[in-house]
Amino acid sequence: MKIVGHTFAWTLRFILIIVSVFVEIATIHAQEKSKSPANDAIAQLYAGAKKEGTVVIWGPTDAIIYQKAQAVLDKQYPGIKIEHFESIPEPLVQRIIAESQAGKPSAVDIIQSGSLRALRPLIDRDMLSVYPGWEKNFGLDAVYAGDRFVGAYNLTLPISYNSKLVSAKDVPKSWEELTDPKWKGRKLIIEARLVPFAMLGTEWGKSKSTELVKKILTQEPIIAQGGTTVAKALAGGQVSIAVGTYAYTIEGLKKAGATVDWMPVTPLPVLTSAFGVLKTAPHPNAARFFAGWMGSTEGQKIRYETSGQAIEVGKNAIGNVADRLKASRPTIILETEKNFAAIFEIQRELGRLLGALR
Amino acid sequence: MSRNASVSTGQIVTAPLVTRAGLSVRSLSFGLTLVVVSYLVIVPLITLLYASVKSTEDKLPFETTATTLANYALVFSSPATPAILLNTFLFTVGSLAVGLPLAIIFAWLLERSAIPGRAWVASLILVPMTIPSLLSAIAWIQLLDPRIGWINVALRSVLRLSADAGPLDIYSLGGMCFVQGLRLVPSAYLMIAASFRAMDPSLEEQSAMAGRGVTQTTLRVTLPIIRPALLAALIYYVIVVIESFDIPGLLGFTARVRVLSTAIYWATHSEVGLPDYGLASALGTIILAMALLLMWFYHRLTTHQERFATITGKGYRPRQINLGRWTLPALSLCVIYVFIAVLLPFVMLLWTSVQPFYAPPSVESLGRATFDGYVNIWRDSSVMRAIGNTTALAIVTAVATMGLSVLVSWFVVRRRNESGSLTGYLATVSFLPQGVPSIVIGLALIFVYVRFPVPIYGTLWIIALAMTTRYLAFSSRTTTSALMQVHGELEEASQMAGAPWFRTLRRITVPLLAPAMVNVFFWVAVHAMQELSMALMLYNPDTVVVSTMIWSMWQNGRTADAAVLGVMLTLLSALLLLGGQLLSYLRRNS
Repeated sequence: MKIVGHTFAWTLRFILIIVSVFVEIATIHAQEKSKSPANDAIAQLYAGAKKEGTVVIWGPTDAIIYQKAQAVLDKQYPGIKIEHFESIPEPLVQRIIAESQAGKPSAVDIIQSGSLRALRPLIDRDMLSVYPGWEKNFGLDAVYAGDRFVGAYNLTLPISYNSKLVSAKDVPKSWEELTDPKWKGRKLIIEARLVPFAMLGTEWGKSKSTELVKKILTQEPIIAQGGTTVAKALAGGQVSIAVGTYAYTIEGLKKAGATVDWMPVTPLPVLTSAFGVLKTAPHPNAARFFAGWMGSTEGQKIRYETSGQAIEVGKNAIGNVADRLKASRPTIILETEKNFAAIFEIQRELGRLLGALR
Repeated sequence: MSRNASVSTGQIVTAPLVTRAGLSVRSLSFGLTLVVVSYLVIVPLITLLYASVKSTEDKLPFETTATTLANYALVFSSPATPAILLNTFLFTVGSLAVGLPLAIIFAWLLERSAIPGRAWVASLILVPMTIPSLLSAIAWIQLLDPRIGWINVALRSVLRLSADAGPLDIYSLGGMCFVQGLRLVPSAYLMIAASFRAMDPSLEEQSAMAGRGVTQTTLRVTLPIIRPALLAALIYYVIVVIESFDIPGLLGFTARVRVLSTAIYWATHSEVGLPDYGLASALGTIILAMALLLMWFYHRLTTHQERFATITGKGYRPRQINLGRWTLPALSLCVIYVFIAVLLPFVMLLWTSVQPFYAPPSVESLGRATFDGYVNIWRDSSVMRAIGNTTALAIVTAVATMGLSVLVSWFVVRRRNESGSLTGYLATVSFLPQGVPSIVIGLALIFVYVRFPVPIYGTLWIIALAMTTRYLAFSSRTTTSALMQVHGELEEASQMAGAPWFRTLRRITVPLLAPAMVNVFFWVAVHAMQELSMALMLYNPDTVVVSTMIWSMWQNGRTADAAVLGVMLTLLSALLLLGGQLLSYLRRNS
């Protein structure tokens, strides 16, 4: 018994030594890491941001998200006040251009939009600053247009369905199945701007997606404006199938008790919401720091827990939409600066089917 | 000049005598009115015409772009244009066929007949105007959707139909005309009611004494007398329907009914880049040309305006007609309208506000109902600011528009013989903003005020200015047609007694125009509370208004919160309307 007790004491001592060594190594590693050039750069950026004291952001994000972000920011990175103006980007972009042309640059640091394409006029006019630090220092991969944008969140555009009205085996597994006669007669709702079909056209070619839309229109679908209206119609049982609402919206409705779900069909269009910092930003350091922080896992978590929105593709992806995409592995058509001109051209063609003249 | 002479001979009213001081104040006011109205209207008008000849793809109109007629060429050469114009015509005619007769009937019943519960019905009839258009249109879809619409479900049950959809389909041209027509009723009623209220009943009495029945008297005496108001309403609503996008946007895409406003929507809601202002402006210019043509007809048809004057210095005393056996059917019509156009959409709005997501009424969805939205809404710090801004904006816009309209109307009606071309210009110009898309007005004001050293950019004033411009057409139509019924001899008498022009205007004209002015005030206030397109272009964090908040909440999926704010806005507007109606009622009874 004595021998056993002795051995046990020595084993315990040995384990304690090993643990202490690991703790020491981890501490040294963490200290090393905190001294890394990336962290130094972030610390420097934060110091500049703190000096500026404020970040002014214009975009469509729900104000509640930034209220929660402010609370976390105050604890971890005090000294930066978020001033947020909630609006859709299109009028904001026009205002920024008009004010800039009048020689009175808008008092805004960050412009954000629900889709990257809406900010194209600012790229065309070279009004956004370049910041490689988002990728280099913050380690973010959702960076676009030559480091002019950093991803805020994604909007995945799947085929959604009302699980009370459609059994799992009947749910369309491909875009072409939307033309099945069983969906004829107000059983299908599509969003009027036809974005998913325009994005599919970048993969398939314009003529194939145009033909698909033409066929779908013969199904007498309901055509509604806005993803929320589409989701609402689906949750309320007005239609069985919906195209043009977002996967995160459907997840939110599911959580609230609605009998809805979505199908990660392939290829799957995914929009990119991004932050861009204006060249004329009054608080450039605060803007770059805040955009990087909101794009990081920490910022993502605040956004995701508040609204369900998150980066859904790439290495920084989080949340249940991202999990389902990882599991089902559809071919993703991600909106980037490389394809938004093509999306625009196809969308214009499709718009003519619904009454656009140009 | 006797009243009857003025009606029967069409004698021209002479210009009233005025003192030197009166003349100068009047001339100064005329000049000032001309300048203010021109300034308000010409800025967006020039922007519209200028943009229509610019190549604005990916550019703003004021950026360096080529001058071209390509936008017009596109409009007139597009194979879609004939169908768009035909649909626009059918939609306009259909909507007016539903809305205007109802508005005329209600105006007559509530102003000229002794229908029971008049004050209540008169107030309730206006409530649909107070429900934000997005939420109202969605409420109509919830009522008339072929599958789950409450009315369709009820009809299928009553008629024992086995189909899972129908029998009514809101997604059709008929459905669009029905909903748009119903939405016109409150505004058209306001425009027409003041004229009925100001009518001299002795003309109808004479008709009755000549042996004509109520129908004959209405058709041959009443309606011809209020012709200016009817024409004003008709012309105004033709343009309103052509320009409106709410209903074509919500129902027309599905119904595959493309109209002019759909084409403007596509041009101004570019998914990538900037709106296509060139194309939108070319389409807007076509609407403007239609407005001008209609104005020309209006002028021709109301040239001898004194024929419509029924308020004179002798024996003006409005009186109500006893409906007799028609009382019950008339009251039933009012109740049915209130039920369909007021109660049902409002109940739908309330239902949406207590549901975490929309679901048709059932035991299950009733269990999910929560009033959390009504508590949580106050946690949003900008809600109180938005309510304060909205109230201030509504009052400022309503007062400014009403004041300007009275002046415009006075000069258009009373100085027509003295300064024909200038008053013709004033009448036309004040109507034109109705043909300019709201988004163009917004952009024009941004462009001008960001450069001009007038410190209103970024304040509520710039939004008030945009809205005053926008609502001038409705308000000046309403006050002009009402003033046409007030004979000049009352003002002549005042001025002959030594009262200067402005005092006469204040003490004689304004009290006689009060019913129309009250209508204008509340119409403008309610519309200013709900306006979205211009507010979205011009607002900032300090000038956030309720309509933009509702819109943001809706876009962010907070449908219940948006509905909560919608309910609050409706109640606020309804209170305002009820207050106005109560004021009118008390004034009339005193």
